[in-house]
Amino acid sequence: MTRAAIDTTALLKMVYSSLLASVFVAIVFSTGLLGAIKASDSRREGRGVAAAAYAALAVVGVLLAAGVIVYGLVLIARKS
Amino acid sequence: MSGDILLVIVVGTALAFDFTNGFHDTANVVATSISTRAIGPKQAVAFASLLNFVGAFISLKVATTIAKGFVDTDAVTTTVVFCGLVGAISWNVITWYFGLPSSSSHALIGGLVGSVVAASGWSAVNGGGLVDNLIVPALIAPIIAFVAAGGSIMLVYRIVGRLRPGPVSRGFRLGELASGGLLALSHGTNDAQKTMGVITLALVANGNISASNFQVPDWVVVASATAISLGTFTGGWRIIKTLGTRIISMDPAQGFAAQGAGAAVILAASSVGYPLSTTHVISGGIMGAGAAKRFSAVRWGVAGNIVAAWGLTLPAAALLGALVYGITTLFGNGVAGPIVVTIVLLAGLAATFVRRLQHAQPAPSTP
Repeated sequence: MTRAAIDTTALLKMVYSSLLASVFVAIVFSTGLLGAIKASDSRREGRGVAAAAYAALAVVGVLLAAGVIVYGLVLIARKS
Repeated sequence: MSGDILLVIVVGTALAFDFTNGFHDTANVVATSISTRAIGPKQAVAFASLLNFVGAFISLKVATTIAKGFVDTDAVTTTVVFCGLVGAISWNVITWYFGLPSSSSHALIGGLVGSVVAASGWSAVNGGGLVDNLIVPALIAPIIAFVAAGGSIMLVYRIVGRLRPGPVSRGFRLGELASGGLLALSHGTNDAQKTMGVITLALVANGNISASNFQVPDWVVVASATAISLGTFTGGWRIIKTLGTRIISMDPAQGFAAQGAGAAVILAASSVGYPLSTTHVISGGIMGAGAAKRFSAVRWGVAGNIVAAWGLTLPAAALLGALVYGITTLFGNGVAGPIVVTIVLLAGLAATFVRRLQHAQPAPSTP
């Protein structure tokens, strides 16, 4: 049976990229959700400006989450 | 001529393994979405099946690792590949029958290693490759998923914790459609490539492809994607139940965090060529999301049983691979052995499926 050294670069890449991606997507998606719920509440309460600001936050959050996912997939597909 | 017949049998067996992989493993992917009622069981399985197919086309790095990383290609014959596959399929069916989550990837590699050892001895095994590409990532990946899911859910609760629970749950159920889809896609990427790697290894052994100019043929990619997708579509309710409800009762936010962490780990591993077990990773994610909310919410006893099944997979599949090699070569080095073993395997599979269907549990109800 042959032996070889562990490729720590690949291992570290797997560790930090998966940790960063999952935590970042969770944060931006939750922020987007917060924006969507607050926008709906603000609209009901007649606070137009706040509703628009929260709606913008919702759109940015969801777009950022989707953007990171698509970027990650494109990166993986390009490398192979 | 007999070499080509053997190759056809090996390709058929590899695709059958891929089917059982989908049947056995991919159901785990949809367990979280189903248990948190983000999507109904039938829709979840159909959705996962479609994304498994698409995912198989994203990367080929894992296929290269499978074909070159664990055993000496010069020691591999089509009979060796065949016996490794039969060992892996047998272990998959045994664990499926008893409702034990194990790892199809480890079963495949274990079966292959056992078969190679039986044929050429330990010198044909790349021990460094096994540690570097299989054992270390297999140990680390569930821990990363655990930490990522746990960290994510703590941040999520901090962000949405003071909002009304109804809209938050509805929002995360929508999010789970995306995270569950991504998990299915990542599973297709990582797992379908294992079959691609094995078929390519058989093509190299049969002389159809040069070992120095290794490339996975397009038809192998399409056939592997189709087989795993069909396996997923056929489903595996018993294992869905174990992972989806027995480890922990989850809310949609936890499901989102667990699936997102699982998908991120599997995709990151695929990009560097590590063959991982979806079962290992999603279980780590589920436990992390559960433990971060309340440590005692995780049923650690069930988690312990799952870990024990993982530990058994590699040596058990290796033993089965070696045993099948011994039986196959009793009939000589031609196609007679593989044909006899294939007939016995098909009969065994049919008997197991019939017995299992007779005692089948109903699918979980749609919300």
